[in-house]
Amino acid sequence: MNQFGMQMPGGKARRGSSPDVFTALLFVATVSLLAACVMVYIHGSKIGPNGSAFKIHEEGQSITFK
Amino acid sequence: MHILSKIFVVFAAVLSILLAGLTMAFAVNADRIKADYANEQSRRQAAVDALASTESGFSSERNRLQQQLADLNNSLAAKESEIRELQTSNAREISAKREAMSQRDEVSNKTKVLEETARTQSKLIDGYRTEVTSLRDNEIQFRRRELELEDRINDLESRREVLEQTLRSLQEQLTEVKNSLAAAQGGVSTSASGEATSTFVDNGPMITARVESVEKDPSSGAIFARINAGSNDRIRNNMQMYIGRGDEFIGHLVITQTDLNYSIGRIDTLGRKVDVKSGDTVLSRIK
Repeated sequence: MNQFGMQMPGGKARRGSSPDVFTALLFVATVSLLAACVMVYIHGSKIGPNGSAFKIHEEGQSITFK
Repeated sequence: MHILSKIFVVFAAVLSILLAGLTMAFAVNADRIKADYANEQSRRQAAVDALASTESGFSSERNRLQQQLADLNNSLAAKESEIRELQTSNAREISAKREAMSQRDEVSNKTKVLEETARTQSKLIDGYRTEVTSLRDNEIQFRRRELELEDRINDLESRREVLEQTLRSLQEQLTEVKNSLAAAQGGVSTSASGEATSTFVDNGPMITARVESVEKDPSSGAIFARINAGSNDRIRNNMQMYIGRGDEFIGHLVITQTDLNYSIGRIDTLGRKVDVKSGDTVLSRIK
């Protein structure tokens, strides 16, 4: 019966916990962060120097895009 | 905590860090771009102002250039018309050149013909020169012979003239003898030289002659006739003869000058209006 999650008397106690609502919230947050990263990366690569989303334009120099 | 929750927490942390970096870079780049955009805006405004001022200058320059362009267009039209005229003139010159070339060819052909003619004539002249040389030699020989013959002819002529003079003197002597004889027979008074001093009529044998010519003396107005009988025919000066035409009596002829074969006498028409003509008959006396 323990295949169905039932705690039977005398049965060995389980060591892990099962996913709960927080797990689902974390999943949603992770997915949202991933989507935000993708969008920021795409638009950052458009305005970044040489198409790089992580680099910044040097001050005093002309701004060039890829 | 479930293992999935832990994994999601790790992923969320990593993504948060990544998103933070991306966001910072995005913000800085956006700020730079904004500042650069503002600079570009001010630069563009300055450029627009400069452009406006430049355009005003360009407008006058454009007007000047348009005027210059119009002048150049007019000049170009004039040049094009001049080019057309020059092309027309060039066409005429080309046609004249072709004509001149054809004439030159024609002259060249004529020159060749003339050269050939001159060559032929040169050959002919050489032949003629040879012939003339031989003819000149022959002529010199003939001239020498002619000179010899002329010398001989002159000798003979001089001899003939001497003989003629002798014959004439003999005839004159014979005429004088005849006149003397006739005077003795007719009783005419003669001068010392045997000539009659007044008009007389010959009573000897009939003398018949013809009038050769009739002339009028402009000084005296007298009319003189020349007849074809002279002293050889016993005609003497002052002899009165009779001029007739057929059976008609024309007038008298008084001899004023005699020669051996002709005589000249003055015509006397006895006041009648008749003319003596060549061919009229002259008789020594009326039959």
